Amino acid sequence: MKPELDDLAGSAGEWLRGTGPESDVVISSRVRLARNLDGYPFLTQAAPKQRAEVEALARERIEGNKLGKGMNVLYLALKDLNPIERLFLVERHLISREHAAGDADRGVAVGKREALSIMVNEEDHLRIQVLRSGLQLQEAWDEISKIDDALDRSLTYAFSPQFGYLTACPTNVGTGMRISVMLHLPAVVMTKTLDKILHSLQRINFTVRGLYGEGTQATGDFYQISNQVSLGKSEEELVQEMQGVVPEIAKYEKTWREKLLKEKRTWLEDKVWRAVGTLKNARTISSDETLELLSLLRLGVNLGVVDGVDQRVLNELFVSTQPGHLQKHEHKILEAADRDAVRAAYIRKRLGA
Amino acid sequence: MHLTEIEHQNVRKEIHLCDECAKTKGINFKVPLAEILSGVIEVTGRGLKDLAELKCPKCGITYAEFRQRTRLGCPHDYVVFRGGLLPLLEKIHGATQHRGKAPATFASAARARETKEHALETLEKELDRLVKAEEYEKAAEVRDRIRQLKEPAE
Repeated sequence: MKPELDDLAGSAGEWLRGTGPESDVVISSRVRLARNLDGYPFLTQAAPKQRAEVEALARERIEGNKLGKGMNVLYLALKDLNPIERLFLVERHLISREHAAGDADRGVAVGKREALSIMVNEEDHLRIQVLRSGLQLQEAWDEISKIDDALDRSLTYAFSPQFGYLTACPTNVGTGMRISVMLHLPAVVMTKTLDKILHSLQRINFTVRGLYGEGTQATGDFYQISNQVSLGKSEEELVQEMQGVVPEIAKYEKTWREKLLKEKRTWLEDKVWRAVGTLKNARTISSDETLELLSLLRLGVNLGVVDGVDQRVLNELFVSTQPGHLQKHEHKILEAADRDAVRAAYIRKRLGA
Repeated sequence: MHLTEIEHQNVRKEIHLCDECAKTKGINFKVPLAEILSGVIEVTGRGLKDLAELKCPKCGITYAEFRQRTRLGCPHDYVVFRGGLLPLLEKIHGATQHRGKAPATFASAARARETKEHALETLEKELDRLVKAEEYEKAAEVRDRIRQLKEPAE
């Protein structure tokens, strides 16, 4: 086990703080920029030697670069990490599933409090991301732009005045920017009004995905919405568009929460308290059931139905009960059945049962 | 919009167009005509087969391979496959022109362009004034300076 990863495991990431504007509905704000180095092919066409060169160059510049105050990074070469450690990084949203599954020379630079990560040799040479708790898009954009400027001073990006930052996939070209906001929408899901939101979002070219990005199922009533367009609009415009949409969805969710509380209070309280009962007493529990019940508990806490549970502990549980985290915590590979027992014990402990 | 042409010292031709008329006359200053044409020629004139066989001399992938994998091979593909990419980008993004930030080196080049454009604008106003005042000799001098400024970019 890499000792550096234990430091990460010991504390929760910035985005799990459960603070920031709209944090009862908005879990986190994320901005990522795709960048490639001039003079090298994209990764699908890069020879092993070129891949290694890109990684070495990027690593040197990222580590040696002054990315800003308090921006010291920890660089992890993926070939040094075992499957559990890679899964652990995926669950913390520091690398993508594709990056974890990939071979050859790849890495990730992780910033302090996990608010910054730079994937090296994923689909593009660099994928820079900044994560913030709650709805903080402007702050995330300001920060990532400064980091991007700092890297621009020591690396030459592939850029064209017409097409902007050149990327391996034409869906990312231009700004190379993808903004993703993670939302917790339990009331909208309960009242089966999600389709309305999905339709209106698709009409304005926003995509909706599950907890862990592309192709994943929405679990625990978490939805991630992102911009689809990256070319033809400035970064500020893209931020403004998302900033305009998210509070509307949050308002919609909150309206349904209040409505449920007013019109179906007993039914809602029963659901929430049953979730608490299971979480505090189960001896074995799957990861899907955990997410479902934690989602109900989070709703209960936000509506004041349940008190005495810290929002931060709750947010952390969503991540720390995932398979990679449990196995990392136990320092061994666990079969699914064993994981379910370990998970149940861990939840009981964290919830003070 | 004002277009002024001085063919000889005493012959001048002025065209005044509002944005609307400019559009109906097919003059669109936002997207250079050549750019649109090159896209159309790539797709229709030379045919889809030729497009599919286009090969990037730098990374070696063909346009057909790109369409199959949906990933480009290197930054130079954006130049080589331009004809095929323009309609594709229009479909994905509803745009073909970047409007966001640029690396510092490009940003300063863009600033230099702006300075030049500013100089051109000033000279063109001066030219307009001189022509109206019928000071054709001086107007011709200013016209030559405008030509000089425009030259290296083309």
